[in-house]
Amino acid sequence: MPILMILIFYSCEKVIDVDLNSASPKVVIEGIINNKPGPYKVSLTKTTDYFNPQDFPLISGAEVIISDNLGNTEILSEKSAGNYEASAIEGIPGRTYTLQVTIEGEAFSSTSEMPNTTLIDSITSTEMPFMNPHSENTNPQYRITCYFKDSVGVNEFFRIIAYKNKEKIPSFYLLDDKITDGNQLGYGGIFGNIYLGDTVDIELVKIDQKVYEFYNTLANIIVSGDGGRDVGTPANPNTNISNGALGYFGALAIDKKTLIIE
Amino acid sequence: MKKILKLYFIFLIILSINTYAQEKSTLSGYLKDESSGEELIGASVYIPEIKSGGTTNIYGFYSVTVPKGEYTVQFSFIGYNTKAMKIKLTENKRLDVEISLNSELIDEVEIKADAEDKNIRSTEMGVVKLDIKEIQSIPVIFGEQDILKTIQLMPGIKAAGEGNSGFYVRGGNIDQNLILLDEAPVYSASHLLGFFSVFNSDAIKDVKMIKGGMPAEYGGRLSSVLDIVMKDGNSKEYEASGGIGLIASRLTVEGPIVKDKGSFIASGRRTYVDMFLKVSNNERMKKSKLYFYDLNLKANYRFGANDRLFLSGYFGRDVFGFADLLNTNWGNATTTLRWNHLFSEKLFLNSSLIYSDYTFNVGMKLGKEDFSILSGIKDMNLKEDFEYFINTNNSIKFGGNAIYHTFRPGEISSSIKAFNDFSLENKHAVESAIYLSHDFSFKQNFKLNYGIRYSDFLQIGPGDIYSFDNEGNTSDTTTYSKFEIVKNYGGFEPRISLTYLLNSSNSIKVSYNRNRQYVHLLSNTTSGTPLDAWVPSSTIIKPEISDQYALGYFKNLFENKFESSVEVYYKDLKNQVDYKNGANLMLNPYVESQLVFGIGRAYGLELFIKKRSGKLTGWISYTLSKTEKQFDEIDNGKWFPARYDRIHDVSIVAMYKISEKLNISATWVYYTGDAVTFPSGKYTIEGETVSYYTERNGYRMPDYHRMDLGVTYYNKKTAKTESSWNFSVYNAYLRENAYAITFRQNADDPSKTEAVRISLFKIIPSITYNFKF
Repeated sequence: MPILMILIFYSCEKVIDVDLNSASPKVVIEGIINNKPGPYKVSLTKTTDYFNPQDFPLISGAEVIISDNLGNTEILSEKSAGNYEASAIEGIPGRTYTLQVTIEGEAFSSTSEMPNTTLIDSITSTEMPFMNPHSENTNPQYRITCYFKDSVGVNEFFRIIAYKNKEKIPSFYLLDDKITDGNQLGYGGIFGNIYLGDTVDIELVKIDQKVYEFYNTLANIIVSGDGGRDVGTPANPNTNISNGALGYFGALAIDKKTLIIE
Repeated sequence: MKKILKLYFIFLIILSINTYAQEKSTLSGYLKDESSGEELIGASVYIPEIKSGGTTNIYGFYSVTVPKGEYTVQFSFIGYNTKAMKIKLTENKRLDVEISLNSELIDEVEIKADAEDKNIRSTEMGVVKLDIKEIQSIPVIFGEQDILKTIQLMPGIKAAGEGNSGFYVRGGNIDQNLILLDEAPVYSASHLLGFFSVFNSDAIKDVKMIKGGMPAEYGGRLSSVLDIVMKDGNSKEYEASGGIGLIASRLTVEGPIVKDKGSFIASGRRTYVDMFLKVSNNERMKKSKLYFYDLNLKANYRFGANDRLFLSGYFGRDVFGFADLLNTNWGNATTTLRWNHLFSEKLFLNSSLIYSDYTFNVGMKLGKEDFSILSGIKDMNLKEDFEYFINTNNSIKFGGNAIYHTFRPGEISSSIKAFNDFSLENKHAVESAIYLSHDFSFKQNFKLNYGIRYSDFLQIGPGDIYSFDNEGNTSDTTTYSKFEIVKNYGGFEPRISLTYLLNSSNSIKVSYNRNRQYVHLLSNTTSGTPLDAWVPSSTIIKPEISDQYALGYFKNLFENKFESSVEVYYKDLKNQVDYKNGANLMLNPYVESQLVFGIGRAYGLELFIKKRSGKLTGWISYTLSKTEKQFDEIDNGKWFPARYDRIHDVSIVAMYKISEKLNISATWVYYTGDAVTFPSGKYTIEGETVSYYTERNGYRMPDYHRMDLGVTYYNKKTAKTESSWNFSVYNAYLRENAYAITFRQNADDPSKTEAVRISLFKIIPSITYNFKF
């Protein structure tokens, strides 16, 4: 019988050669401004062939500007190749920010509104009833629940980012309030080999709808991390940047709490 | 409504046309199997003197009206001995006939039966019929006979994936197939994530798949109808049969209620992989569950010569539980109550009351709290089908039905009160149709079947109906009260099919049909999951429409020992459903905001040749096809290949009878890899590698091929018992077919990205013991 079980559930993985097209390189913009102290970073890279090494071409010499709806504007300085930083402009919830990037005469722009911060009420840990079968450590594992209150009557979009001992857990935890408007929420699905004694930082990141859609569609296709969601045909994430660039520009309102599992 | 009334009057007028003056008589009755009393479906009644005749309907009834006189009437059916009877017809005559199974080696029997060239003569095209006995000798995965797996070996029908019982017909989606079991729709036709179909072949009498030239009595889905008829049960003697396999066992009991008047059949099947969990020393594993079962029940009884009642039911469930934390089960329950009534020797009526219910339950225990979700679809259907046998050249079918659908997208119940508020509202609809069709032979070599169907769909309250803005946010909510009409759709569905007989072994057929589909399955996985929800047409989702044109050439060779066909089709699809990028389809009350709508086209060439008799039997089927879709929101509105677009698809099935005791069989399948979306580049966001896609379904999976082998050894037959051993090997030459290809960062060297092929089932041997007594 065990033989049969093996046969039924037997599947094999093998690295193979696949002949992929070489797409012409595209501009990738990743820019963030948040309610924490700066500097705020914008990185400019390009796509590369899929089987190339992981060095993504960096775009130097671009003009990168962040401005807000009160008329504040800053031209970002290039700290290292492809990495641009803002040091003067402030990230304040409620303001709308615009990113303008010009690369060799080609202009890209994006706008993102920083929502009002939603505070974390509390975070708790719960022992998991069963183990991650892929883990070698057989000690009990924990999952984390993050509690917060959704505001009534406004569409709100959240992402929770969890860090275990300062290292980011690569899962995407996303939720909107379309069916839970105004409720006290407890997001209890945060786990990633968390054991007794670990320090867990939880960031509750509030974002606008476009950024939420970017994260949501990005999460569908990120293979690393334990996402693995089967959500149909893969497609490029829905970007909020104009003119066909990949990536996004997000204004994030973050609240953070720390928990030591004990 | 006006249109419906108009059609109704047309029916009445046609009915009142008298069959003209010449003195005629009608010979009618039932054609049955001699040993079991089972009625034979589609069997032939042929009168050589006038070179004409008829066929039995799905209840085994025939009716031929001819000028008075003396005739030799031949009753025949494939695999049966033809019975010829001298009959003097001076008045209407009722004659029930029993014919016997042909037990001789088939090639020794003179092939003269007219039934053998039915494929040439009938107006049916795009029709696949499966012989249940034939299915039994085809090798299959895990040794479980499966009609859906066998039907995938026919031209124009494609498997949904490795070991999967889901199928695509002529470029249509999985949800565009109407699967009927004794007229009841089966909404989810597979078990255990698709590896088994829900149809236990022990309980099945007849299987017919219509993929084109659909007659007017069928409707509701765009692509195909798979019409499965359960056995009625042996009406002469009690009989038990069954099989013991590696992962499942089957048992069927049948017998007369009153000899030759009524019979019953009960057939069950259960897998027992989970029995082995019980021996585990892990407490959690002991409490875990993983199995499925099917139960088919049917009984029928004749009240006098003109009335007969049938009650049939199917109940099947998959159960999966992990310890006491998670408990999931899903499955169908269907019930059909039918009443056959003969108004006269020429007018046959079947009335059916049909119930079908598909549910998916998830129960979870979180500490002391529990939580469960129920989703599914429930139908109540009342159906009236008349058949009017005017004479051997004319027959008319007409009727109508009305279905009350209840869509259950997600009922939540929980000890945590706050969760109960998340329950999704049920949706309701009434789908009705009336039809009329005329089967007509003229000038000796033309046969015409034409008809019209009018279908109507009402989405009705109670419920909240949402409209959405461009961003997908709710812009408006309208509340409807009970039975209030939310939206009405309807339209005509013309059907026509013409056969031109070149001679007795060659014919050309053309057909056109329009179909409308009002219910839609939301699923963004390729093969479907039990969780996928059915939704009604609504203010946002329009009815899907298809127009299919087909042309075929049919030829029988070597005195009907071989049959062959060439068919081409073109299909135009409207109001097709796809999903926005990142669509959330599960438990989403605003699910309609996640959809996009477009069009499709499918065309192809199908070749088929079959050897029907002799020691070696089997067939070769080949399909060359293309299926494309176009959505404004996808790929900038460019046409793209459907996920299941396969250019070439070949199946070879061979069965060889070495002796009375030993049979061997082999199948080989080959198809072009599915169209798939692979990355054409990569980039980085948040330090993660992200794939860059350039076009939808622009790549191909590796080609798929596989051979399966089977051996059946029959033990010595005694007067009362029969038994056999069946050995089969799935994927005999250990082909590692790609189930999926994923792209990822190398775990050991994150500076590299790689493509990984995942294959299932390297080789699966299995053994089954079958018995009958």
